[in-house]
Amino acid sequence: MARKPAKNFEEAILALEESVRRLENGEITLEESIKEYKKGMELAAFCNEILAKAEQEIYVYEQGQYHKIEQGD
Amino acid sequence: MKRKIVSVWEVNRYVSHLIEEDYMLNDLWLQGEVSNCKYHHSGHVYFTIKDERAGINAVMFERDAKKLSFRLTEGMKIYARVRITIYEKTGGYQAYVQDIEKQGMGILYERFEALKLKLANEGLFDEKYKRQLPKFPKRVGVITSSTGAAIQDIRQVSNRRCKSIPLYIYPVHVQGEYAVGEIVEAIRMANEEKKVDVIILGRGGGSIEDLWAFNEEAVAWAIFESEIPIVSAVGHEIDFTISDFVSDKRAATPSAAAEIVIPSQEELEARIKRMKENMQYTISECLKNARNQLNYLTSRPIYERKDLFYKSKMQEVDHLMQALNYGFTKKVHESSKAYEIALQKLEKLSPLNTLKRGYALVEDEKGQIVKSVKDARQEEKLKITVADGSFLVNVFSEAVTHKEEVKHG
Repeated sequence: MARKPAKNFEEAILALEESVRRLENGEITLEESIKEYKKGMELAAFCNEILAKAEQEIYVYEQGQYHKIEQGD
Repeated sequence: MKRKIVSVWEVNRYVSHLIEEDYMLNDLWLQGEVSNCKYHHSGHVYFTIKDERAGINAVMFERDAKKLSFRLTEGMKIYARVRITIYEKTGGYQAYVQDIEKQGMGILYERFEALKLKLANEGLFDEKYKRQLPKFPKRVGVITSSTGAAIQDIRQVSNRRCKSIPLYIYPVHVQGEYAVGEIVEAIRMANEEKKVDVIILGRGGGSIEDLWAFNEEAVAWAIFESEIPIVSAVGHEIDFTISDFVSDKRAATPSAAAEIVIPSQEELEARIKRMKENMQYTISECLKNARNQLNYLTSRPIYERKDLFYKSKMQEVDHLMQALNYGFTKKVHESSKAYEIALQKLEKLSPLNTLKRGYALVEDEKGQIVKSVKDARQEEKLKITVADGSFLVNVFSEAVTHKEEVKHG
């Protein structure tokens, strides 16, 4: 079954959980296991990348527009 | 006439006793206006409770005064729960104030209860309408005052928990005449913009009047109709508003709302790490098993021909294991395909499977496979291998070909 690539963190972490489950289940061939492993590792990297932000972004909605504000403000 | 002489103190004391024994004066609610109010640095509050016709001195001690959620101001209309006492030093009497309610509070409370009942009957608080909060929100909306304590608390908590989730603040008045309209509009806006996938709506603590916007029907409906889940966070733990009942989740305070909405980065990272380790372990076990299987197949005595083909595949497996240990996922993936094919081929070629179906393998004393009657002479010992082992037999008679059999028959 072809699965869509994850677009965001929540999807990615769910897909990651699914990869772990499929691997542990052991009902797939070695070839598929390796594929699943590779995919899982990519998903984990994707998730970690999202979490790696050093600074939180904050926007204030004013007069119909979003203004980014800095942490010290 | 005989004079009865008593001291001033005795009189004051006597009157004091009279009053103390009067149950009515011991606990009553006075209605009036605050006047001449003085907050003493000790924390005690001295003021006069007056109406159109009279006034009475009042004192509220620090331990009672600090429980009030509001500050007394000149002209404030109040109900004061008091005990009337004599100040024995001067003989003046005064009202000891234990508690104060602002006039009109009763009306607010009745309105609150009435609206709560009405909306409950209309189903706005039903559990079935509560939307799930996203486990990992993409963007979090905050509808509150841009100057209040609430936004500071939310920013601080969310910054500590997970910096990867941006905050989108929709500033509104949270009290006063514009509050209701602005809150309703902000909820509508956020839904229209669809930028955020969860909203924290709230403000810091205040008096019941300060929190009143969150008890208005228009706000309740806006929350109810919001497609985006809303977490209500109004005031302190003890404050309950209509918003709390209709929202998808109630948080005790704005800080608590941020704790609920924003996942912990640390926990997520730990979870991902656990899953990675899990996968690494599983896949290396997988490969180990595959290698054992290959070893098993190639080491069977029946397998005397150790082809270069399989030897090279064994090497590949070793490379795979190595690559895996070093985390070269891509390399593992590429070489695994060839290995997998080899393994499958090996299984297909293996005579073991054929033997399992009831066939036997015949070898002569030199270990040569007997393929023809010409290979078997009388009295010769042959080795027969079946699925689970082998045994020796003697050849009884001269071999006969199929053709000869047909001729003789």
